Amino acid sequence: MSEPMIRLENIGKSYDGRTYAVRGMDLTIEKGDFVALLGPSGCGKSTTLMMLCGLYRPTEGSIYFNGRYVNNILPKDRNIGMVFQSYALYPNMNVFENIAFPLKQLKHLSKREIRKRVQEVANTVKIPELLHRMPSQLSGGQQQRVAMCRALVKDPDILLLDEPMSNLDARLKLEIRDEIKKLQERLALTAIIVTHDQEEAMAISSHIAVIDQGSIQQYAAPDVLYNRPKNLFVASFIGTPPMNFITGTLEPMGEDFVCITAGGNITIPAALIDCDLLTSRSVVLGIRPHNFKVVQSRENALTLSVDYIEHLGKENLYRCQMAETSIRVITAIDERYPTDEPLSVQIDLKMLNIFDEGSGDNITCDVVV
Amino acid sequence: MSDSKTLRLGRMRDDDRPYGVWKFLLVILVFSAVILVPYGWLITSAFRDTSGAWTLSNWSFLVKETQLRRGIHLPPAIKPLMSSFSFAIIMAASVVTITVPAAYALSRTEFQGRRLMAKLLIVLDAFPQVALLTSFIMLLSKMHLVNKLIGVVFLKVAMYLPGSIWLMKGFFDHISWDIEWASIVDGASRFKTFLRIIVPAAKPGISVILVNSFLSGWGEYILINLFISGHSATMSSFIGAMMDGEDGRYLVPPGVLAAACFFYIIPVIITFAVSQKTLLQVRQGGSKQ
Amino acid sequence: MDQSADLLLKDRATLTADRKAIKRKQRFPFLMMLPFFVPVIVFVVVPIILMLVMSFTDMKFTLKWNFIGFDNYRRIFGYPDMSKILARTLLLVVGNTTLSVLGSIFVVVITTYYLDIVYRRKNLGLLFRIIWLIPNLTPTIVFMFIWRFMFGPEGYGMINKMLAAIGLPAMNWFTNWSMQLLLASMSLSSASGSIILFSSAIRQIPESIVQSAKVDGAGNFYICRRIVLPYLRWPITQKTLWSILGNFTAYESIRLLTGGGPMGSTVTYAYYIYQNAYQYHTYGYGAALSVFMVLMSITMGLIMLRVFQVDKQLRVPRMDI
Repeated sequence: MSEPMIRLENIGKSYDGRTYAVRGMDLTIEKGDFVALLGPSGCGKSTTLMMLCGLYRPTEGSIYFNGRYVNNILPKDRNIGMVFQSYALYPNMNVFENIAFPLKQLKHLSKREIRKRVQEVANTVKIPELLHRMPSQLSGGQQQRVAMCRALVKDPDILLLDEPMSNLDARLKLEIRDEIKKLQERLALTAIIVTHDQEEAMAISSHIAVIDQGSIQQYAAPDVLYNRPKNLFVASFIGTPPMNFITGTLEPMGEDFVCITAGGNITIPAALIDCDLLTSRSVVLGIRPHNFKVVQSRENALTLSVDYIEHLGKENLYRCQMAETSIRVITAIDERYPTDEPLSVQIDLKMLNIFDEGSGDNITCDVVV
Repeated sequence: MSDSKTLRLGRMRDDDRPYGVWKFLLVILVFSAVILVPYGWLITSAFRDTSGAWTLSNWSFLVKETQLRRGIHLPPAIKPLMSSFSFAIIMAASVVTITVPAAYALSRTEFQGRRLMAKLLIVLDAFPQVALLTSFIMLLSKMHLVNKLIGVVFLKVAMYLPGSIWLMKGFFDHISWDIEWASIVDGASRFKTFLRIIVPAAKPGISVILVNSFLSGWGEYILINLFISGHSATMSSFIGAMMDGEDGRYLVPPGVLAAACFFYIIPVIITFAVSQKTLLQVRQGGSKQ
Repeated sequence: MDQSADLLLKDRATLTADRKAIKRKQRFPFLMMLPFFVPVIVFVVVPIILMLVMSFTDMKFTLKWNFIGFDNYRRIFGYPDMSKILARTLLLVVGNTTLSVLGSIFVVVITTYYLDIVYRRKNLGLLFRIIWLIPNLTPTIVFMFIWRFMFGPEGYGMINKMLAAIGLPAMNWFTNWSMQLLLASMSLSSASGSIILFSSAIRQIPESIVQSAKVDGAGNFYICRRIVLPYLRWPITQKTLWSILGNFTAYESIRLLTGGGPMGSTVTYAYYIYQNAYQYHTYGYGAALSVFMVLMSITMGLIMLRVFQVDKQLRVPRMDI
């Protein structure tokens, strides 16, 4: 059995001995994965990264790299490279010295060897002309690249990125994001990125761990996360504009269920629901704004009152109201509906997610309808 | 009314700073007279003889012996000047080398007794020097350090450390953790990180400690006077010897004393002028709110 | 249950390695502080113990001691002038603290608030702040010489020369006004020491607050009273506590300005200790006097711990190495 690159077992971290920043976290990362730790601020994602790099020691649980127990291993012996949010370039050293700093800590390298490797990595990241500048003379994007160089110069197995792009402007963000992705693939690195920006996480990573209140809510590929969120937190956190939530009550109707909501009744095939997970009849239907279809009949449809329309350029966003719930409906650009009449919409059952209201868990079964 | 307004607007185009600063200038100038007049008097007296005529003869103490009273002479000021310098430099160097690592440990590491240590520093900082004078006499004589400047340096440094560590800790508190993390991840030890990364980042704070302790060593009089016999151990005891008449009168003409005092504060002025920017700026940054 | 499963997974070697890592983390700070412990133990802690022991002896110039029990303490309470000394000390402490704090607030409000902020004459503000720093930078011996020089007898004292110039008789300042001179000079030097602290506190006031108060129609003086002074509350507390302590324990300035005279009329408690150590060489008695001073300063230190909230000023290190 081959060991995964990184394995976290029941990891917990408490700073004060009473409250936990991270608790009961399990995570397995295979070699070559690009994993994003995604969550709101203060959710424990940075703490997790700090435990992975060895700056924090877990209060409980174990961390394994390639099957080796590393809780007590110093960062320098973990073969990792790290890029910090502020880039953390040493202000008293020029770019060359900054990049060479990790190599100088390895006792066996000659000066020539160090020079060669710094040149190499500077070429890879395309900043060979900056080597003699001081960090204060660099732009944000350049500092970011220098920080990448410093993280990569030791040829690490694992690259850790702590919000590496949050200090860049929007255009530079896209550019750097692409480059990081390309570098990671080319160097076959295992990379972990901490971010609060879901778009960034979706674009760059192969797996996303959504974290809230110190534990992982869902760990899956980006498309799974988007289409089948595991619980209400993930469903509400992922996607802009956010998913619509409609509370309703399930009533059996022959073979199937009918869901009674404030805006109308919806028939739901029984095969779509994992009945074992139901704790009561109250459910929450989760529908993304794209997955409505405007229809004429009121049969098996929800009736909404339209508040106003936002024209987004490539599509139209209808801000609607259904009883007390606000609903967003996105339609194609050429579909126009009057705002003073109620709007009838059907739900695309393939894209529907059903959550148990009590537990908040997704109880949808993946079957072809 | 409209006339005066346009007049003001016309002024403000050239210089948009508010009008009427002279009132406050006058007040502060009058108030500052308690400093300006005495120091001005000191400096002018240094160049005048007893009859009030301008002269440089007051400055002969620099190169010639000065007679205090019959048979007792002060040597030229070169030797006390040099020992004042070495006293202040040794003091500043030892304060900095001891303060910086200790303040770093207090600010940025966790250890058993850290809170106790912090409290102890405050209490020690509040500890009165005068209360220990009697014990110092005994201690220095048992350690065979009587009449040696180095013994006084030890005393002064030990009394000075708690305050300087607390001040330095404030500077370390403000250094970001990122560069320290980066350095540890890059493979440096905690000590090497301290030396190569944190100390350079704390340079302004260190220079404040350096300048303050240098000035404190340079100006020290009472401990030297107490524990070192003779008249010319340092510049301060050199001046002290000129002042100490039995009947409250000086042993030398006041012009000579003024010249010696002026001479003694020249290094202070230079040190302050050189470090003024860091000193003033950094003290703002380091002040705890 | 999770815990025990976890323990089973870790073998003995990993457990020792964990423990070693924790030890390594503990050792580093102590090594960093070792150079501090040595001089402080030798030159502060040992003298404190010595002082306690000596206070029960009749140690004099010869440094030989006999234990005499509480005789020194009895002597302190029996000393007839003690109440005068204590009253004088109180006067000095209260007088100097009040004068110096009020004086430096005045200087800082004018230089930093009016010159810097209101009238935007930054260079003038800086110039006067530097002038007000001078007394603090001057070595005490020079500062006190200047005062003796100013108020000296008619031969050279500036004040007396000026009095003579306008036809007034010379005054014997150091005979009749010694306590006032002491108060004036010491509070000037101590006011000078708080200029930077106070002025940086004023600078931390966000400009937007002052601006919006102005837009609301507040006058400069009103802003100064209601916005600027409240910002000074913390530094003033700090300075007041230190000033009380500093004036209580001050002896160098007294030694240099009046030497306790005339006729012991400027002898304070601290100066009395100094006299017993260096003029009368009654070390045992001096040590007993010192014990009370130490008790007082420790009390002040404990008050400061409370006021400054030392615990909260210690930040949790953001790293476990």
